[in-house]
Amino acid sequence: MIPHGRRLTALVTIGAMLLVGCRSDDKGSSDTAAPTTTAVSADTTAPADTAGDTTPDTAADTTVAGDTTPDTAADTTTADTEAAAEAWTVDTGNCADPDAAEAAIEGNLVIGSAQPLSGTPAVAFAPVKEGFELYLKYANDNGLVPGITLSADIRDDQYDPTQTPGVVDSLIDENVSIFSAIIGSPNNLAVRDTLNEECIPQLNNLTGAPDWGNDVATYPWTTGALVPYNIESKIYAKSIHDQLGDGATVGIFSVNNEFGKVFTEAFKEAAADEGLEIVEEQSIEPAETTPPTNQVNAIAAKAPQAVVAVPLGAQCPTFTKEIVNAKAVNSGWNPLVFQTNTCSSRLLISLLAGGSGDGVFTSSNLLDPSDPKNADNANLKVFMDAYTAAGLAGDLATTATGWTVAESTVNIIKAAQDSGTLSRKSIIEAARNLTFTPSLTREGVAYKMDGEADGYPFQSLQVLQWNEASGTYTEIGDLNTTYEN
Amino acid sequence: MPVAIKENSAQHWGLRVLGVAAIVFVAYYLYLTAKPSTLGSITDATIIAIAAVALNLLLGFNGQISIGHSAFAGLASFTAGYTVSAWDWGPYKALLVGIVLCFLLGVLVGLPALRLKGPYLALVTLAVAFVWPTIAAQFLDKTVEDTKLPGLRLSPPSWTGLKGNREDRAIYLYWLGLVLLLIAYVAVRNLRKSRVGRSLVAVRDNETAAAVMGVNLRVTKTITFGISAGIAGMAGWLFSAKASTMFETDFLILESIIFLLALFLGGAATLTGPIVGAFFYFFLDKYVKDHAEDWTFLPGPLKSPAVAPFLLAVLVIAFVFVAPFGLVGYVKAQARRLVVVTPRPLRQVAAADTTTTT
Repeated sequence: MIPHGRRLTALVTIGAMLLVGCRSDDKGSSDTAAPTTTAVSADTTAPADTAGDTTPDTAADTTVAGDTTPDTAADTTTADTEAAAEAWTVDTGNCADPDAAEAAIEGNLVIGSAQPLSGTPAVAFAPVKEGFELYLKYANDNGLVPGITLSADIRDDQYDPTQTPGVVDSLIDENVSIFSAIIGSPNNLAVRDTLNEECIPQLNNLTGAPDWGNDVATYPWTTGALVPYNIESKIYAKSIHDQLGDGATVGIFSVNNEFGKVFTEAFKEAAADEGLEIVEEQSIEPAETTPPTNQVNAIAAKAPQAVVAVPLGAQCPTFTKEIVNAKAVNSGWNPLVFQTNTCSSRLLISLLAGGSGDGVFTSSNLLDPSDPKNADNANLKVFMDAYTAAGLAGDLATTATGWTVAESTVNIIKAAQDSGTLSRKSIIEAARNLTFTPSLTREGVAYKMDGEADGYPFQSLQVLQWNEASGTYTEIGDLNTTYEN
Repeated sequence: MPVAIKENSAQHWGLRVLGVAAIVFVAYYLYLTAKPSTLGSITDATIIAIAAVALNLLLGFNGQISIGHSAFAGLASFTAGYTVSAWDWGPYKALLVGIVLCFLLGVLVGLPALRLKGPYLALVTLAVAFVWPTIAAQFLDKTVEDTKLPGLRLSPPSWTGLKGNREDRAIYLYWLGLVLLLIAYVAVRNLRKSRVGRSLVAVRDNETAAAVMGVNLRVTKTITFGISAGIAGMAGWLFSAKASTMFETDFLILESIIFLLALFLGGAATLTGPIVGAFFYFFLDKYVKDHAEDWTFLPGPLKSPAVAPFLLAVLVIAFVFVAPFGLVGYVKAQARRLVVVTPRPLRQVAAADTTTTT
């Protein structure tokens, strides 16, 4: 038996705790620093989101070849900060430590990042790190940022957004200067508040979520590296109109997550403008692994002239296989099939698709290093030489993505150095005021940001069509630059 | 020969006080010296520890397995995230409500446990863990109309004298986590040492005998499930208190497995086992991930950062061979070579006791 005295004490304690608990209500949300939610956000799954986006492919892009010699490859990336009077500047007044944001960076500059280095997604992503470090070595060897030694500290978050804050926290404590190329939309979202409070640049997020450029005022320290999904889908709508004309019928197949939703909503908007008619919409859960037979049959029943597909990772080849099956039983139905460029890696469109990827349309803004027609491209040669010399063996296109994102980062740092003092503040200001041409992008594609007016570095895409027989992509129409601003 | 110490003697109390003092000292020392990221890691480990303590009550002491504890933690984290952001609730009110919700859900899930045992019960709780991310996704889709929920990202209250920056937030969450862990520990400890606790163990060891002795099986089992789920809810709330954004994928079935792993690494059915196990697991995992890249002496394909989960698995399996009763079990066994605590004699020795004690 518990003595009465103790029982009374226990009751009083519980009562007091309850009171305290309820009273905390009064403070309401003042106790919390809940981040501002933005209208649109990121896909929450699938490695392929970013992997795909980053897998460039091209066919006959020989025009770029010979433009530059290997030695001047980096020189072609002309850093060009806007006139000081117009240039966007960041306010460091609200920073946790304004002095640290403006402190000069000298000697070593460490770039931190969180990427999946182990676990299932690492299979697709590991070459990003290799490409990133490869370019930093190239930049150091060629003295691209005079007086500064660049290095990367890339740690494993296993593509798990609950691990990213821990990784980023450790890197902040170890005094990395900036972050770049963190992979995954949820992963970047998980650390965005902290990095913006600390005023540490979070550059070149390797995800196509529109979040990274649509709220520059709230999150000035965060920038993206890929063409946003909503722009990609609009570019497909235009291509469908160009090929089929007014009133073309379209079926949509999309993954049921943020990625699929942002993509589909933007496509519908553009379809209305282009005069396309959406006759069927089907979706698939992100974790679903069985082939989407029912969904594709439902689309085939309406016999649309074009199908736009936004599947995820391994769902890409199962989708194209189902389309081939549906075409076989619905004679005369031969739609144009558009697949998001997250499906455009060779693994997904060819190796796993068993030929069903033939004729599928997708897009990219980078050169395809695997395409023999690009073999003479001088910039690509610089990359290939470094790749071979380092004894790397990872997927070429993914390694090239790591190389390109590091190139953007280095050019931002160089521009910041040219502007006067190299500091976190000058780096983010350089990132948002910069125009330059990366070495491995297609002709006409440039990194271009302009303060709050233009928060996305890349907004142009080339529509491509996969040719299974030759193992290359064919360009369809010209590079779409409609959404550049 | 080991030294014999009588239970509750001065020496025994001395050892206890020494143990508590050591823990308090370490906690305070870390607060003074550790970097924010280290304190953050400790908070992350504390989340696992609280959930493992909850699981210990259910599995270690009551013999009911649950693979569904990730769902309880997820429920509490979403409850906090939603009520605070959408309804402007205070975070601590959200904690209490989250615990109550988890308790009720725990009781509900515990009902099948009246009929099911072992693997069958595991399957029921497995279903709960499987269903949670889907429910969470639907909730985000239909109610929140977003793909994420804002976390609480708790700032220290003004009376602490701490500011809202990264360093002070880490300190506040560190202490908050330790306090919650202490509450969970004390709750389970007191429950275990009480009459209820003895009936829990009786149910685990022999249900029929327990029922014969007057233990109400239904009430004991379902309420234990509820309390355990409520404590797991504390872990979920702590997660949301630290998080900036939350997703439906934050509490997958893997989390349940980690809670189980922490429990068995530390030692099930010991009071400190789950806590020790959680910290051991978390920091072993972190160590392997942070260093796998540097271990160039590993042969062939193992020489890659991707080897981290594999190495962790190997280490865990090796550990289980060395210490089948967990870290605490191992340490206790070793300590018994030096010091043996002899139980105090029972105050009333009834003749019947020798036959009915279990």
